[in-house]
Amino acid sequence: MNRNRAPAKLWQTTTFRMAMVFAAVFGIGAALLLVVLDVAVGRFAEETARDALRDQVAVLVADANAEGGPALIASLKEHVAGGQPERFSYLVVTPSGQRLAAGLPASVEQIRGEASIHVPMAAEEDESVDSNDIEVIVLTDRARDGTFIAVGRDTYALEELRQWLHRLAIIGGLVIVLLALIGGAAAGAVLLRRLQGVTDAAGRVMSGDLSERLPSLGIGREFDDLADTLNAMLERLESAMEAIRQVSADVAHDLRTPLTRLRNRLEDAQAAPAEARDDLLTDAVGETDRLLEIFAALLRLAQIEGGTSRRFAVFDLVPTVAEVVEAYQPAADEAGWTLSFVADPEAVVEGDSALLAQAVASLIDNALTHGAPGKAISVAVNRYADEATITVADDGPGAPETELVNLTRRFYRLDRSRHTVGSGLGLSMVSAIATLHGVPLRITNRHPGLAVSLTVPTPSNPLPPA
Amino acid sequence: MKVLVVEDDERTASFIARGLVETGHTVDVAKTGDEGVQIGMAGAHDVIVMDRMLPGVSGLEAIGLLRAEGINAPVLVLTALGSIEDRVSGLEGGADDYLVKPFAFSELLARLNALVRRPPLTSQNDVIRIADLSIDTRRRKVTRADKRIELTPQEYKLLEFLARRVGETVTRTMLLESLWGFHFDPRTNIVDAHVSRLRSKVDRGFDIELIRTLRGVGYVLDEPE
Repeated sequence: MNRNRAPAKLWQTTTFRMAMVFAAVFGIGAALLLVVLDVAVGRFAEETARDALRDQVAVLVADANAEGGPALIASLKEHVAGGQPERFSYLVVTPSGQRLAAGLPASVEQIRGEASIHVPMAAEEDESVDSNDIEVIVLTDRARDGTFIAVGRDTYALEELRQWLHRLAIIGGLVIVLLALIGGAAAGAVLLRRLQGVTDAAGRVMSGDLSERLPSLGIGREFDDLADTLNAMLERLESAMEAIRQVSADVAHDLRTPLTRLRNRLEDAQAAPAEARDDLLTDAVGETDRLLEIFAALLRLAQIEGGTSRRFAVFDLVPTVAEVVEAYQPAADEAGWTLSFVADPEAVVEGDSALLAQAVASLIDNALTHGAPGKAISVAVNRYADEATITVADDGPGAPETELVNLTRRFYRLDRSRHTVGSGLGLSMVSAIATLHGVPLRITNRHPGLAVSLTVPTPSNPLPPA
Repeated sequence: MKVLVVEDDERTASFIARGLVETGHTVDVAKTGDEGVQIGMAGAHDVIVMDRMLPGVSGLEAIGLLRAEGINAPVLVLTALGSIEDRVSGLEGGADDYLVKPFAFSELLARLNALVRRPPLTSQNDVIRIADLSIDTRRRKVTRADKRIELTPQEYKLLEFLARRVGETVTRTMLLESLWGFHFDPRTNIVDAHVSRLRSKVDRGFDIELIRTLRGVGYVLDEPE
């Protein structure tokens, strides 16, 4: 992977491409809307014009019926001469051959009903209409006395309206697309800059700075949730890396001592006379076993901390702990300790029974090893509303208050315990088991003695899983 | 017994082979899973020691192939992986027992003996008799020289486990795993304390000691010759 990749150019980005797509969709939508508007308005105007034409014909027919063709011609003549700015044109022919032609050619006489004809445009008309002919809609009828009446209306105004609508559609569409492009590009640029921040932060994490966190994008819940989740992941990675670093440091430090002892024993054995060799070799094997024990404990600890050996089930804590206590009873008796067990009748929990048994065993081990000159170890299982606690307490010397927090550290041992057996990993293991169950370990001095409590959640679902 | 050892690490293989030959057994060694399957297919072995991680065909795959060929000799799997899952997947994969490296040779031998004699003849009987000791496994009643011995449930469990393997070496690890389900080594030597308590009830006051400690290895319940 190229770590030093240059920041993406705007047009290479997804955000920009999405902005383009949006602009296109927007533009097409707007254009469609304008075309529909164009057609609808045009139709409406044409319909209105036709209605006016119909009314006009009806009025003229009624006049002719009432007063006769010649009278109509006379009144129409006056009307046309009045120079009204109407766009009607007329042709009236009486049965006696008297006629009035105002703007319509004689050929109109052939039309029955409605038709569209083209007539040469009047000279004074607007020059923006680039045709010499103009379309005229003609409607004809006959009065009762046989007078032929035709009224025409030019479509000039309609044509003008249509052209104006077309212009609106084209210009409007272009403006909308342009705006969509600008908006999309701006949004894309903002997103790009924010994402660049995230990319930079991720690059720093990759080059080893695990404490780096991704900036909040600040452009919406879903993006911030993503950043938060990634940060949580980094947090986990950082602590895992820290744990590994810690383990390697511990191993380097704390395995060196027993390895050195082993080497010394073996060197002694090489130099020793044959009869003494046996004992030295037995010692060396013992030293190896201790080393392997520490090694196994470290591996188990890593497994527990990594959560890979998680085998959760719903089970009753009381018999599990009781069995461990029973297993230790004879050994505790022999060492002169009183080991007692008190429990509520039942404590069904959800957890890893094998690991919890190991934790209890480890705590009793600790009390037996470090609790002297105490004489009593009490183990208790108490059930509460949504959790149960296991407490292992002794009446020994306890630990200095300032040291309590250090007790769960790997290989940590109180000064007075330096020369006792043990890996110094017991409480780390118990602490890791507690963490696996989602609860911290509580270690308290009870004057006299030390009490260690482990809390285990009761199952969220009361029915055991099938 | 005749043992097939399938192990790619030469030092480990020769360590196991030497130990087995010294204790009077016959050994064939295979260095890969394929070779192991070829040699094992003859069906001439009483027990197979199989390394889990082998080049090519893995240990568990080799077991599958052998089982498919109708070879039913018990298999003990050796592994450097010691987690509970590995153990479970190993046993589900057809292994009869599981031993985590590094191991003491005595532990391996005790387990191989236990595997070869499984199921022990005594398991059919309701009453196990060893010298003047008699264990009624139905009523959980123990008598020695017709004298009733009262045992706690834990002590009884331990005695029956030893009695069903009469004459065989039982290691501390085997007891921890089978009787208490501990797949880890507790720092306190809890097994010795249980055994000495049992011994005080079963052997104290009698001329013959039935439960013997094998130093550094484990215990054996047997009638001395």
